[in-house]
Amino acid sequence: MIKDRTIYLTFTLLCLAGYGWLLYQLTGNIVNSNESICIFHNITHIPCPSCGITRSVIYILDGNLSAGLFLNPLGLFAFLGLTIIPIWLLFDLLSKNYSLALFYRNAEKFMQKKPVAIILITLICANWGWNILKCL
Amino acid sequence: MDSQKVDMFMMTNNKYFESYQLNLIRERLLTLDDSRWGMIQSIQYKDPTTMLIVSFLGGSLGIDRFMIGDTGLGVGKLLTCGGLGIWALIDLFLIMGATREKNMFMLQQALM
Repeated sequence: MIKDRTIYLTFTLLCLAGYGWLLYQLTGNIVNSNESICIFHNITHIPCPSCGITRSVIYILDGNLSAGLFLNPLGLFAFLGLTIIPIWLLFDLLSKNYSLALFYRNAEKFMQKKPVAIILITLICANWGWNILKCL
Repeated sequence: MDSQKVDMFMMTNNKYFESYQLNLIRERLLTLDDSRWGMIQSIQYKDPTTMLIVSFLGGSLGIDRFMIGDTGLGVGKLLTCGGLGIWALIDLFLIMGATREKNMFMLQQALM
């Protein structure tokens, strides 16, 4: 089982990397270029399931929710994650609570249930197919 | 449990565990009741080498993490394109240890 420390460290690093990447994209203005750092995309020339999330988050930040959802619906989850998780991390740090780790474990258990896993995999695959059709 | 059986188990399965865990597993198995032998034998361990290959091929989609049962981390890797490739690269070094830890967890669950 993953330790609580690993969970908090992973979330913190993911949030920092997410904000760093977003900032780099916003200041570098290379969002609309065809360059990609996605290994999967660069090797196979097929978009991966998460291709377009950065652009989607940027659209959502601009207030254009529908464009963001059309580009990649997972962008909404990334946006919500980047908004909620830092606050949650800070709350847990200040209150010396382990609610985020508890939530993570419960969510993991929930996702490992067969019907839920099948639905999630189908949704991700459908979204991936849509990504390929959109030629992201 | 019979020491011969335990030694046979250790010889067959030592690659699935960390080296520092082997003594502990041996001692624990020796004190175990013989009736549990069948159950201990039937556990399907994940091969760390196979996981390394999976990590190399599908690491950026998080498939390696999904396979060892770290669904949360798998989702994290999938949604971040393998952590912009960096996490996928780091996991190439971590995945074998993580697989062995998961195997140990599976054995502990069976021993309880």
